[in-house]
Amino acid sequence: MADSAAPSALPFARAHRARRAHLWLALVLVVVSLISLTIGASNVSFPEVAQKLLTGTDLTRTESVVLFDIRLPRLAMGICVGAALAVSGAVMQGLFRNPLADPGIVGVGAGASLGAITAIVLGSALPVAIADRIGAGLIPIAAFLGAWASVMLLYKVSTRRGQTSVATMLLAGIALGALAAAASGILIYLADDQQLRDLTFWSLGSLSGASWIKLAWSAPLIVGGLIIATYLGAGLNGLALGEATAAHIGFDVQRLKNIAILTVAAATGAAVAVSGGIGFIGIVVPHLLRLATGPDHRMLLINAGLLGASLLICADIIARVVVAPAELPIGIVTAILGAPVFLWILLRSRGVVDM
Amino acid sequence: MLTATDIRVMIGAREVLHGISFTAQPGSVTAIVGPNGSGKSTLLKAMTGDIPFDGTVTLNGENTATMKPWELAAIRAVLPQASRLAFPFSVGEVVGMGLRQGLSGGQTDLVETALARVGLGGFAPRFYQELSGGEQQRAQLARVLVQVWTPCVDGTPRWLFLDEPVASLDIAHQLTVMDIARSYARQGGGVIAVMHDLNLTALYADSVAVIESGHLLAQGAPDAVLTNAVLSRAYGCQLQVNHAPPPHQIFVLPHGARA
Ligand SMILES: Nc1ncnc2c1ncn2[C@@H]1O[C@H](COP(=O)(O)OP(=O)(O)OP(=O)(O)O)[C@@H](O)[C@H]1O
Ligand SMILES: [Mg+2]
Repeated sequence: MADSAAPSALPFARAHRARRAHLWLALVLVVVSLISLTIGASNVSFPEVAQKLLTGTDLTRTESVVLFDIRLPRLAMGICVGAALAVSGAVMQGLFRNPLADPGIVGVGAGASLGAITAIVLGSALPVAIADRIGAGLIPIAAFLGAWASVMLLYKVSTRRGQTSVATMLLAGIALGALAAAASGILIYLADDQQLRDLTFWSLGSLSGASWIKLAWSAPLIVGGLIIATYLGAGLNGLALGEATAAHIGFDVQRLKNIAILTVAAATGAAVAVSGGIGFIGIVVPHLLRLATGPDHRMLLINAGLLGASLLICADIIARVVVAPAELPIGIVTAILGAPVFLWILLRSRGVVDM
Repeated sequence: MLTATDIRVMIGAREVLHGISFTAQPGSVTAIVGPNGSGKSTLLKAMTGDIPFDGTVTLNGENTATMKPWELAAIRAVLPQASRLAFPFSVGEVVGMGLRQGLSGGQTDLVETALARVGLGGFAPRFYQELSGGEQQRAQLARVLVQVWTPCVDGTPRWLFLDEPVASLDIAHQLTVMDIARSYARQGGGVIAVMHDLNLTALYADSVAVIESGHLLAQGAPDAVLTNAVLSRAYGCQLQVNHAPPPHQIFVLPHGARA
């Protein structure tokens, strides 16, 4: 039970550091974002463009397209998705009182995937009139609906007389996740070659499909969810003492849980919908921050948003440069980087798993 | 005043409490005693709203079922029989959670004061999960104390609900904790404590309720309730209640257990 992960970090110094970390992480995010804007398959140079913008010179057609229609929406989407995944992870872990909980675990990810896969495989069966109107939004919309449906179902299964049992919810999440995976399996079995390629690319996760249209659709959900999440900090701290004690110290636990669940559903659903299966951000980022700056959710949630965004942008940069001019699906990068870090965390602090 | 009327609790298909009516007065320490599994914790949990129950509980005249969590938190704090902490919070942070806004400004002093009060002065920066069992329990008590630090505010008593506050404490700290409970009551607050040590109960309680198999066997002053007949029946073994020389402190010994 004991977590002797960081005996060197004295808690009070830690809390201080957590507050300073807001600034540092914000700075890191800005730097990483600027780097991300300068890197890409085309040789448009950001400093040059910035200079032109400042001096009022007109941009060439290529420059404006690359910067404003490709790199900027991609950056914005990376920030949104990274922050959404990391904060959803932190909220979920606080809610389940378990540092290994993750939206993926309670089936939100599986539900979203099922939605997306349904859209990819059965989308062509839609009447042309409808398909034309929804167009590129079909996969995101379906993924989002899948996430919502799985959360709603999960909630119905695990809530009785207004009380949500976290244990039931975890187990139900695993069961529902397995069901969604099985249904996805059937669809994959039915898919043709082109659909299979689309599926693979989507399920590995990618930011390459970023566009202002997708962003306009997902950003409000994600940003709204994140803003609400930052108000959950004190309540999640209270939950660390157990549901009963959280109620005794004055939190409306049921409402807290409802809001946390809906927040996570919105943020994760939207993130998975636009970017596919990007793993490990939700579990690694809060872990690292807890080790470095302590478990206080009031600071952890904000820091997780900033660090999650930065890390995802970094992963995206790597994904774009290692096999340039082609690019890797970003989910592969986060897994290659995230999984070893995750294992290292587990080895370093076995205590966190034994609770 | 705290009144619990006709409390029935079903756990699964089994009725664990069979209609218990119970009262506790502010200004006094009320002990709940009884054998393992008799329903003491269940009664406490019903009175603090942790589990569904039939019956009514009123605190200072108000039905607790209609009160908001934060209204209740302002007048009563609860020490559970066992608590586990997720995540490596410091002792100071844990105790600070008793303050509803969390650790802030001048109230940090209160955390230190409360920790010193339970014999954990200087422990604030340590990791809670690295404390010993007894130290953790006292840290939890400090958290409970800061939540309702002033026993009586404008004539409204505040309440401590303690489930086995001295379990796993050494004898000196048992006395420390019971002294805290008594002084809280003497200043106008109400204290309800589930106890196993009958001698400590006799020493500190103003009122004793004996629970057995989900029934209230007796409630009243220690002199009236701690008797051979009641205790032997409750615990199912021969117990001898003795009286020390003046001031007539009661003490309980097993009777003929080793004969
Ligand atoms: N979650 C539960 N599920 C099933 N039965 C329970 C549960 N909690 C308590 N019980 C049963 O209710 C009865 C009363 O339990 P309770 O915890 O109130 O006992 P207690 O008097 O506090 O005992 P102890 O002195 O051991 O703390 C016991 O028979 C116990 O088995
Ligand atoms: Mg008990």
